[in-house]
Amino acid sequence: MSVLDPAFILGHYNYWVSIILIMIGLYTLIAKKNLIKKFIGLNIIETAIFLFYISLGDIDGGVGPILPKEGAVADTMIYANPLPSAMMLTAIVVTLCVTALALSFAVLIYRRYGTLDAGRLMEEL
Amino acid sequence: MTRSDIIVRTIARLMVPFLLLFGAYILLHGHLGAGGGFQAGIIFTSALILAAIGRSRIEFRSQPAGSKLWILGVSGAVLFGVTGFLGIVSGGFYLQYSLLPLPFPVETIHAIMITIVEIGIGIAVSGMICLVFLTITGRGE
Amino acid sequence: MIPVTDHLPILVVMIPVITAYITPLVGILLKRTVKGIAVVALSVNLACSLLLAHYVLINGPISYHLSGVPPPLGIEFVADHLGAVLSLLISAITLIAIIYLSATIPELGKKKTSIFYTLILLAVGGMQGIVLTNDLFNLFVLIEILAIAMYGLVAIRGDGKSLLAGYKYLLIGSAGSALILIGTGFLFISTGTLNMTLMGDILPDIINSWTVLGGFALLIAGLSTKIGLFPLHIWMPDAYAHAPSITPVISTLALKAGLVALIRLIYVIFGPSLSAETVPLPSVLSLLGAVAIIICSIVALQQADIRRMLAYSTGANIGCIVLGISFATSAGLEGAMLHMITHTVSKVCLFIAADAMLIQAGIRRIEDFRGLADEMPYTMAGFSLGAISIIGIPLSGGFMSKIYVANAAIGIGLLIYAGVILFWTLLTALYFFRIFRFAYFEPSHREHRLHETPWPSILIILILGGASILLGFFVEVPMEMIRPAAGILLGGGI
Repeated sequence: MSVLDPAFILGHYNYWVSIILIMIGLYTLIAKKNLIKKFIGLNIIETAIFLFYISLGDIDGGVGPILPKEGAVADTMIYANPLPSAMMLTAIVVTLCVTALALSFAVLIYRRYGTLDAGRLMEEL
Repeated sequence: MTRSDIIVRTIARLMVPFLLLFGAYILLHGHLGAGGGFQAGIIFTSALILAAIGRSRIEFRSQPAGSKLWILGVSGAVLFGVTGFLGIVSGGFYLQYSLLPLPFPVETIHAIMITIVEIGIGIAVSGMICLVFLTITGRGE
Repeated sequence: MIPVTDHLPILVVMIPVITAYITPLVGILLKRTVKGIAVVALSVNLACSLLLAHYVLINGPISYHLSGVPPPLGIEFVADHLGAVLSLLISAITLIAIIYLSATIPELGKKKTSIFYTLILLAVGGMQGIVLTNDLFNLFVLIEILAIAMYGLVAIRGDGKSLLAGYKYLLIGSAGSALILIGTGFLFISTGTLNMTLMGDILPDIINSWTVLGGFALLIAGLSTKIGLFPLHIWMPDAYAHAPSITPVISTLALKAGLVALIRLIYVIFGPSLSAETVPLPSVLSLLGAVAIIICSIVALQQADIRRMLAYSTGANIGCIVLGISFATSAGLEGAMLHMITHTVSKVCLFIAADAMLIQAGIRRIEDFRGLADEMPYTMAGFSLGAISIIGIPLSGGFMSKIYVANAAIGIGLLIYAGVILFWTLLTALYFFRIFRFAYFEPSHREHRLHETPWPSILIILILGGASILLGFFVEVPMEMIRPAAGILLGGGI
């Protein structure tokens, strides 16, 4: 399949969304001067990664990978791969911790210096 | 801190019991379906934060609350760690529960032990997230 | 019943982590016992690491399945020779650092002391996990645990500069973690497994896929932020200069844990399929390592702050280790691992000596070293021993490991890298001899005579300094572990 085939491009729209989100996040991380905005950029990147992982595991029309009570239908059932979701649960916890830490740092920095402008703050270092 | 708007206050007061119930459901459902300690802990905490937003934050922010939350969070984490070591004591691997000498079938033992672990995680998460909330809004560490 | 020795890999990881959670509880209830508990936990941890290293040396690698589920589904911990020797290094150095910390005057307030110990123990648990795990996603989680503990350790003093340094570290480190996460996803979706050994078995068939190569590049880039490889080392000088005393010591170990992850990524996951045609890894990584060595050394030469200088020196040493790793020969790998050990011991000696001087005499800048050998002879002697090993003066530990790496470079015909190491030795000598000149040959300009550091600190500094020299004479002791480690890794892991 050619990379330029429209069906290929449209068929992988979930990846394109992730890529665009990652690029938006990267831009925010690099271009914005405000420390909290920089971290918001990082959060956008990480959310895009979660989206990427979860769309990796999902199947069109798939259900949650839980065995139904009557085992008969289990063989023909289409189910989503649960592992990426489980991994992302852990990654969300980790991101939450880092976000909490970053916000506490930002609050304390704002209290010390009265500004969150990265350009001015990095001169202080 | 001024008192909140009456709509916010009423809605918050109405929501809190349902959120707590939902958290308990998620917590106890963790071993066989979508759910688990972390989500339940977050839901508990969001209920508490909603209550704090509905009322004023003053009584939520006192010093004893901080150290109690530390104890809560830490004991949850220790509960998780120690439960894992029960697997080693019973002759299996870390976090392996199937060999525990309890008078139940293996599935029941799994369900019981995983629920205990989930409760530990839930306690730890809600304690720590509350602390983070206090730290960000309050005096700061 | 599984024998107790088989549980050592998980005990080594979980003892520091569980103690880390108990510590704040103890800190609230019984304030005075926090230090005692941390020292006891790390001593037990050291004993476990020793047993583990002994067991691995005699019986070969241990594979440990968490919750009893075997690898394709469950998480696997593997204690091979590399993991065991690094685990021993981490336990030993952190125990020494904690003893030093509890022997000196606490510079943090009482409230923060228990949090400080919690973070150190958490970092130790994370590092032990990184060197022992064999699961790629578990590796990511442990790297994050270590990173969060490190961010906290950098900023714990709470003044403006340490917070800014911590925030800078946090932004760069989190970006690196995001890259590691995407890379893990790429490799996971290509191979369908997260176990590193199984990935290594599957990858040779699909090595030409862009997904796999992209995942590899992302993982290397993400790990480079964690190990401070040259263009991404910029968080190190600020973090080391403004953090409390012990943070650079823990961070030196954390960099080594990251390097172990890099070694496992290159040799266990990609090892069997790695060749110059598909991935020009040796040329890229060697070049990065060599550039790191030269530029970091030149920048270190210009620093006025002793801790910044040591941070840039660490950057250069990381470059040397990456250079050794990138040769993909057993000589290069052995040299890199030996350099990890010698650099850790000598650099920790330097950091602790610099901290003792800072606490005792407020010495922060290099000009302040004037006449120091007269006033603090023992501290300065320990500092000099560590510096001799870092420079690589013959017969010291650092000399032996540099010789190994240079030999490996000559062995594959890349004489230029041996030349780089020689030039680097000259540059290092230049910036340490500047300190020696001030300390030994110039009179003091201070009004008051300084007092010598208290004896427990001197003892620790001298032990570390002596060890960094003696490693050169007893180089066979670590090599006994390193040789089989290199053999296993070049064979593609266990």
